[in-house]
Amino acid sequence: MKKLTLLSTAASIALLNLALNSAALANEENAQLIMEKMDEQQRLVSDGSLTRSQLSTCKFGQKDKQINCVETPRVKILESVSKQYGPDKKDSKGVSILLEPASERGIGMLTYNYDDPNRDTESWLYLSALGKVKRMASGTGEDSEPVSVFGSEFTTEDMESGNTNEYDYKILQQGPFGDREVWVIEAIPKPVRAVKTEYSKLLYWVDKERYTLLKAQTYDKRGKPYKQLTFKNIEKINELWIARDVTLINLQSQRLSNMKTEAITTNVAVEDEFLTQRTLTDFAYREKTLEALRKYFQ
Amino acid sequence: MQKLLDRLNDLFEQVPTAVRPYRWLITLIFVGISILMATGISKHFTINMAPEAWYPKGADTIVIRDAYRRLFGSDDNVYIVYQPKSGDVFSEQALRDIAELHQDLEDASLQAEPNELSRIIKIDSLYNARYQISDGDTLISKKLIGADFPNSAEEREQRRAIAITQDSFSRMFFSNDFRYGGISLKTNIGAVPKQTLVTDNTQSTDLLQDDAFGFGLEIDSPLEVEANAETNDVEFIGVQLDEYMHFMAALHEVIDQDKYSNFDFYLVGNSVTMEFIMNGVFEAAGLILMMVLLIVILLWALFRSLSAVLWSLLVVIFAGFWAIGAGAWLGVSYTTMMTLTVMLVLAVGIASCVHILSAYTLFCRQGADHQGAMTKAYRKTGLPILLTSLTTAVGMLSLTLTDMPVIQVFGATSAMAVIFSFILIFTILPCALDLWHPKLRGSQQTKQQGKKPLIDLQPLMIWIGDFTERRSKTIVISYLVIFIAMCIGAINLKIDSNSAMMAREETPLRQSLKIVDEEMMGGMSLEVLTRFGSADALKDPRVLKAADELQQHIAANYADKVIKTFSLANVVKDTNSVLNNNDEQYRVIPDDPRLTAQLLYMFNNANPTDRRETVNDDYSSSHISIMLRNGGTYEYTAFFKELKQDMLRIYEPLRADYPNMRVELTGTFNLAVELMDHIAWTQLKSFSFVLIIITVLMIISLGSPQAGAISMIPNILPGIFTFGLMGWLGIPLDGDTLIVAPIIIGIAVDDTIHFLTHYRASWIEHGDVGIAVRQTLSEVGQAVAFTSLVLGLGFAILIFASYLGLAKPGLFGSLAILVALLSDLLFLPALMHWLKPNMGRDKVLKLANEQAAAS
Repeated sequence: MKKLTLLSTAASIALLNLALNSAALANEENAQLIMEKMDEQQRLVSDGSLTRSQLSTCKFGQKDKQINCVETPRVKILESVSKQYGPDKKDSKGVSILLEPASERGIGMLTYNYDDPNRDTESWLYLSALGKVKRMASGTGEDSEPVSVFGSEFTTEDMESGNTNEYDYKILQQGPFGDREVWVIEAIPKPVRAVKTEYSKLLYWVDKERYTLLKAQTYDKRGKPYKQLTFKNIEKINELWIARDVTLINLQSQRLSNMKTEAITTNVAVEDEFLTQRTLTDFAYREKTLEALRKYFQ
Repeated sequence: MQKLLDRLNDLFEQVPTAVRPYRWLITLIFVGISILMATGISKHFTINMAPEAWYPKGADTIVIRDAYRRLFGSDDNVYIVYQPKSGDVFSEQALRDIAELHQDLEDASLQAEPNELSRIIKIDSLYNARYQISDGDTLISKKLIGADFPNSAEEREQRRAIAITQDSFSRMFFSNDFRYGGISLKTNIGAVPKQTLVTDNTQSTDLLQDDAFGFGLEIDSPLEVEANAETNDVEFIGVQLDEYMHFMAALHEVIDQDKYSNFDFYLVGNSVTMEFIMNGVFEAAGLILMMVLLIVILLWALFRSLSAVLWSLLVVIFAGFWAIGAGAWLGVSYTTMMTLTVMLVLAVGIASCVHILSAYTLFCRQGADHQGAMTKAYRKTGLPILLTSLTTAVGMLSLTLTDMPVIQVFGATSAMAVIFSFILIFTILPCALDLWHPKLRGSQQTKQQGKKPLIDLQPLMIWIGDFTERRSKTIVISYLVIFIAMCIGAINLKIDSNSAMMAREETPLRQSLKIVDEEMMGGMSLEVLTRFGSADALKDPRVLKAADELQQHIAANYADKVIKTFSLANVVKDTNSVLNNNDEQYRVIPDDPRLTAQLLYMFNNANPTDRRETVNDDYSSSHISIMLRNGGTYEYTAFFKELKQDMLRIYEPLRADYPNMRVELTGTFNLAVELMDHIAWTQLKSFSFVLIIITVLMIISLGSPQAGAISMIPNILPGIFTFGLMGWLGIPLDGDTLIVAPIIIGIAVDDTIHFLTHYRASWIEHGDVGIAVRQTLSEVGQAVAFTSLVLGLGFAILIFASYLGLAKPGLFGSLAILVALLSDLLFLPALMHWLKPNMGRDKVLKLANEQAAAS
């Protein structure tokens, strides 16, 4: 499986480079291809992966142009398992369990995402103090608003992959950005997206060689700067480039969230049974399966 | 003392002759100062109409309010009530209209700036109200309407049924009978930080140049805590009254579109009240212009010469202009109270000019030539004008002792204006009158000697002289009876300010308040800010239970004022019930802290924006919102006091665990009530203080304690009469009326000073009450009547204001001026006839005899 993926990645990058060099392709089409490629990479990362992340959130301030927390950050630690499904592996299933803080330990969230825009995202929440699983129904389309990821500044919209056909892309600039060559791509939501997004515009700084994000900026519906994401500690894990340190500053709420991937393993076999409600409630089953996967942590 | 008074009289007599050779120099100095003041105004004049201007810097009330805004944003919201023609907010048409209106408002608020409606940061209505219900194992959290429009009647009834189950929806989004609906617009008014940390770099042509974090900032190790780093929300930009007006105009543009003709709208909220007050300010400016016009007409009618109009206005306008200019040079920031300074200088300045002109024309009519009449007029009126200017200026200066900057500025500027007016009367006015003066002829004079006066009060004054002698006891006793009756009335007088009720009954604001109070969630809101100084305090079941207890206590004890309350406790109780299949038994705060933490976790995940509006990020601070019916300071000051005691009683047991706990009352309405009440009491105190100061000044200037004591009777009579009448009629005394009160007392005092100074001089000279009264009535009575006529009618114009804060002072002000006039013309002469007070005459005569013997 790993070999096949790598081969297909190499082949598609070669094809893409060919296409990008072709003068016949318009700027917009190039941008679309780049974003699709990047999205595909992201899907590869989440296909059979286990991560332990530390999610820290705080109010920030500025001193000598430096951004820092002005209060002790609120820290949450969680483990997540995900796997891609469907013909093009564009559907996904994922489960996340909170390990810290103590008062929230054991809270779990199971989510099924579908590429088909007509199919609702399905999710189940488990509150350990209540001992109950609840299926969450929060409407579709414009009724499903982006929600916070474990109480941080990241929203489900910031984390989701796919949906590249719901934006109009344009390369604004390309060249060296720090020590990397990048494309700066602008994404404007199409009407289908506009009704459910919080953003009017997004800017991506995409690494030309690795197809990873180095930076992103989002603008609110009034066109004002909203969020800034920066991607650091980009490492090659199992032939896939992964940013292990992502910081988001929300300029409007004046808060930042940092997501550190403390441990990760990708491209591991996750049994389908694990991505069901059983994992939320059956502590023994969950621990046994996770323990087996943790052996591959990097 | 008497010597000094005599010397002053001699000095004033010489003024017209003394200034004559220097008239060009005086004119030059006058023009020079005017240019200087104009420069000050053009360079340094600032006007601050923000409500914060009323508080001293660092006032607790503002500090707490800003702390609230830093945590939870602005509480300065607009609430739109709509009444669909179909009579049911769940009818198909009403739902379609509300969906469109909601979208329209949202689109309008999202337009690029400059955009007044970009102040709207959140819109809540039936369209997007998110309900939460449990259906078996499924937790449904959806928008009530949203994209899923209920097309059939059955679907609409189903939505209605869901809406009824949601505690927070009733009276917020629909009235109990579904005839009215509500849209809440959360704004950022008053919560926009003065400085922002970032600058947008999207204008930068080179996106690659910024290799740091972007938006001009860098981020190396963000999680390291730097407690001294600068945050965005140190101070907020103050909001001026006119900004509210522009915001409301933009809002009306959206809702007043033809397509929403199926709705009748009723708007409430601080912005709506502020818009109304601002309109009142414009109206006041218009009415003051009309007042000036009326004064112009009356002055012309009284003196039959434009010179009387022109020179009086010259004195008044330049006195005000100089005072404002001097303030601008001193770096003073003005408020709407500036209008009152203008009114004051208009009243005092015009009165002084009328006295001089009246005396001048009287002496001309008695046969004196221009120079002779000028000399006599300045001798007779100089001292009283000095005294009236002095008493008014001291009275105004006493306002600088209050703790409110706005009142201090008003006091200082008004005092300056009065002093400038005095200076101008003794410098530029004699020069101007030399140039051009009114010519009125006496009954024995020919047409060439002047015009016949249109109003000749001399016969009336003679009649009053006789009448008060004949009926002195009857008049004094009648006055005393009225005085006692009015004192009883004044005891019942309530001090009650209510800015929203300053609108007349038929105005949209009053109608809106009535509907919102009766049918929806009330026109006012209050916040209990709870800060525990310790992270996760709000997850503690005991803390949540305290909020719940306070809310239940409020609901049980203050149902006449409070319509609804809302806090984090409601969120926990509702979520607990929903997660337990809507079981009402679970609508409680659980005892298990882990469970409350997880219920709150769910709330945060589902809706971080709502969470942030209810509790801060580290769960150390929260607030309880209290929705109230509109009311005045009398009722609500007492309520706030009781509420503060309840807060203390319920929260104090938690202090052992949360030693840094602070539980405080705040919110725009709380601020307004506190401010209005404070203004009213401050004014009442300064008012009493001013009366004492004036009495002391009168005792000194009239040279006798007896004369001083007598002078106070006509001085306090207008006030007692007006307050007593208000008390009998059940009309409360409000802040606006109290602010105008010093002006009215000023006018009353001025006339009394003129009357008594003249009377005493004549009494000392002749030793005969009859002669003294008749001479005083002849020389001063007419001027007193003229000034009262001019100013009384001027104030009466304000009665037509739609802003009752202006109309009420207008009505009671003109009434007080009338009472003051009657006191001076009837009561004082009658009192003199009956009691024949010595007023220090014996002392003066003794002194004169001693001097004669010595020489």
